[in-house]
Amino acid sequence: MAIMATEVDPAGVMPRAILRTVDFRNARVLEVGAGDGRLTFQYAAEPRFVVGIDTKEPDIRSAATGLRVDLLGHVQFLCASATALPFSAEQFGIVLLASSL
Amino acid sequence: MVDALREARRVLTPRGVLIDDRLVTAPIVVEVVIAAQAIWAKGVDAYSAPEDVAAADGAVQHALSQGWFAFEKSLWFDFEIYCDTASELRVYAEARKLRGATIPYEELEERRRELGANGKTARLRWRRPWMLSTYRKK
Repeated sequence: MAIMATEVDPAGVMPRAILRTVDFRNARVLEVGAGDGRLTFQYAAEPRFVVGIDTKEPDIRSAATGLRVDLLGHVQFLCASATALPFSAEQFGIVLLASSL
Repeated sequence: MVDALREARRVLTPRGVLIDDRLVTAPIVVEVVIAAQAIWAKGVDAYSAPEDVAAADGAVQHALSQGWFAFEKSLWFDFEIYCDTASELRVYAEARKLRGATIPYEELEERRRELGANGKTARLRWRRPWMLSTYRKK
């Protein structure tokens, strides 16, 4: 039997649902709970800019390391808390709470 | 959670959109699949920390009552996880705070082996009910 291991959302249902819900084109997006960037990478080509944050430093480091070349300068990952965001007011057109409430 | 919503509102532009993407308290469906086709399924009483879901719902209600956001729409879908074996599924489930879960791992593995006989590759699929809601900053 072929061993394929755990596959999470292989059909990309979640990123498709997210992109269908709001118009991401030209938007500045803040993703709270970005983790290792698994979801971020699946929709990041659409908006103008994405900042992914998470309190788990190893995950954020993994996300930054896994950033594809085509997303460099377009996606940024930071270790930060949702309750004390390190941004000034009115910076983002979309805030995505990714399993973070 | 309320603090996170307050912060989200602060950094959103006027009329910006908040997307709340999270699981909901509803039964999970576990299936044996062959080539993505379910051939056996069972609903199981396994919830991811229902108290967390209730707290999140409460925080959202607070934000709405304070006039921070206006509800726009909700969309439900199944979030799918595929595993080769029941023990692999158990590892995944246990890492995700499934408390009071009653996932029948032994039965699942038995069904998977039985239905995957004759050279077919039978895998397990776990469908978790998920909700995506959008809110507009007021």
